[in-house]
Amino acid sequence: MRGLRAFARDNGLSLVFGLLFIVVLVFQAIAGHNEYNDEQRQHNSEQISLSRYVTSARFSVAVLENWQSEYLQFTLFILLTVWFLQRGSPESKEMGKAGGESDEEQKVGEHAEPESPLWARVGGLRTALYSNSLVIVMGLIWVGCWFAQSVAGWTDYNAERLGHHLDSLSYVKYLTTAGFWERSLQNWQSELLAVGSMAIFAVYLRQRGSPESKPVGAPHHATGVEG
Amino acid sequence: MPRTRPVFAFYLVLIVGGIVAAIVIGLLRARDDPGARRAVTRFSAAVRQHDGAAACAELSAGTIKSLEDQQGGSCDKAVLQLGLSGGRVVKSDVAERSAKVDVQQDGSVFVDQTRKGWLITAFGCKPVKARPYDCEVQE
Repeated sequence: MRGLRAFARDNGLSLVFGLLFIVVLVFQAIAGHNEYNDEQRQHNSEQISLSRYVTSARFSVAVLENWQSEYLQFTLFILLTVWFLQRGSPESKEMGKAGGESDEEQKVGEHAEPESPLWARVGGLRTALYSNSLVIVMGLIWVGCWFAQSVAGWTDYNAERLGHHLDSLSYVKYLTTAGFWERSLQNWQSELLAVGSMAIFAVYLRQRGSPESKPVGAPHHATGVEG
Repeated sequence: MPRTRPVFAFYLVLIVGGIVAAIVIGLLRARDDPGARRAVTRFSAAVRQHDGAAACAELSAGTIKSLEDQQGGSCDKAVLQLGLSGGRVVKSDVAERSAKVDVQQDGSVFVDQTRKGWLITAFGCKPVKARPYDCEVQE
């Protein structure tokens, strides 16, 4: 019991987000299923079960189009904050620190500490890879989600076309449709706005106790300070 | 530190699982369904054998109504008055619960998957550039 409590305490943030994700996904499935069946009724078509809906291309594309944009957001955020700074923002490094920084600052190779991860200590290709592992994994997830969105979206798009007595499109042709790009761009623009505004809002606004904010009393010009 | 590893693994498995599931669902739901071909094959065979009742059994309720309104008679008679030759199925194209099946000489047939199986919602369809197919009978 004590072990479980310690586990929950050590992973509180990830666990709460994971649980919220599952709850929200279930509600998305229920709402999406109702919306789909409403559409079916309007077209005098047969309704489908919830289990059929959650294994449909329609539900898959609805989930994955949002996943991909979130991972694009974080990939860009991780990558762009290496080189671009924002004076006064806790999301930014200190002014003048743009770039990959020195091995000493990053504690790699001979500057590694006894508790540094093995791949940070060994040098060479492994350290180079590990130095970029977060952006590599987030970027791969983004590409994977975007590809999955495109495959599920293609089938959903063709189902609609066939239902309207139109020819279906090849996968490659689907990638050139306004439908595919509208699904992608509508998500990207919102992510970019949210990140950009967060970076600048955090210069002047505070949330006591949050590491995403500066300490309440920190001056507006203080950069790279977390509360 | 190891106490955080299971959560790290959980998230990775969840994300990779979601990606794989979406790809598999997208591909499976676009897979050719022999049921769609079979429904149209039965319809064509019935037309060829002048069995109107059997042909009408492959039509959706909406299509039967359209046909009867259009031809002014019962479905089993009306379906045989359209001059269909009852050709062979040459190609089918499926996405989710909708399909288009091409029939030799008789143009294309659109079918929808229902609880009663695949039912024809339009037949005798000819392509029109950048517009929906022009169908002899449709729901």
